[in-house]
Amino acid sequence: MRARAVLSAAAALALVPVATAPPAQATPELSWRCGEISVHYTFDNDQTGGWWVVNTSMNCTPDKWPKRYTNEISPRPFEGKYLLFEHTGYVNQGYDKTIIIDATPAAAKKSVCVKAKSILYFPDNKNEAASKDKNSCFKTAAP
Amino acid sequence: MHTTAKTFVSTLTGLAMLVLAPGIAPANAASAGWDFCGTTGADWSTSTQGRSGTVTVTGDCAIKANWRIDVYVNGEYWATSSGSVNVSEGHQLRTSVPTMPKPNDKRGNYTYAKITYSAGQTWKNVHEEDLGYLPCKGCTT
Repeated sequence: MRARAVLSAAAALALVPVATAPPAQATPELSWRCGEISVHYTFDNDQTGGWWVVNTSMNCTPDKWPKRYTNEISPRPFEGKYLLFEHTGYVNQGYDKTIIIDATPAAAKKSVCVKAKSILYFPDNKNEAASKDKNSCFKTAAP
Repeated sequence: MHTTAKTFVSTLTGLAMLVLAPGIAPANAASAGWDFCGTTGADWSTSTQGRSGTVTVTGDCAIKANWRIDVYVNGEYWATSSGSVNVSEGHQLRTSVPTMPKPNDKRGNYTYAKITYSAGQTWKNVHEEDLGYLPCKGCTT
């Protein structure tokens, strides 16, 4: 009896990691999702002046499901005109866009804001399945 | 043995349900359509040549909201503060940064602030304000 109790205790202990391990991996993983939106800006320049290379990249899975992406890039303070204003229709792929923005004098205290959103839809009824968004601003003075 | 097996099974079911529950949440929480608050700028000020300083965020809110600032330095979570703000245009939120790390880039410490405004159970607006490379004299660690 005693040996058996010890055995089962050992077995229970051995099972503990097995029981706790799978949930840690399986936690919130839905099979459909929109990934983190990446917005990158890098400065470049030559003798004519400086500029920023601004890249916005978004993605949702599964690939076959419809998604829409919006990307609005505006100067701040807003001067009435977007630098990029893009709202896609339903597409079946990721989104990747690079635009170039002129650097501004430091004294002007100007920024540029990227407002990006990805939305994934269920293929049958086009209800929203998942989404991500990102607002990201950076100063456009040459660093 | 039987009871052990039973508790074990019920523990498993419990865990399985725990796994299911948070899985459902993100789809609902993701729909935050209304920009009830927004940032209009962010600045860094220092009186110690960059070894410490303050991040000041300016913003507007159309409703009373809670705010939280998370400061990231060289990709690392570095400082935070939070509070609440009334309906306002041009409010100022601050986070003090007691120390700065040794820059791993000759331009300085790459820093940005993530500002989260929240209201009610699900309303959330997140904004990121890039502060660029902040130079530091005498940051050693």
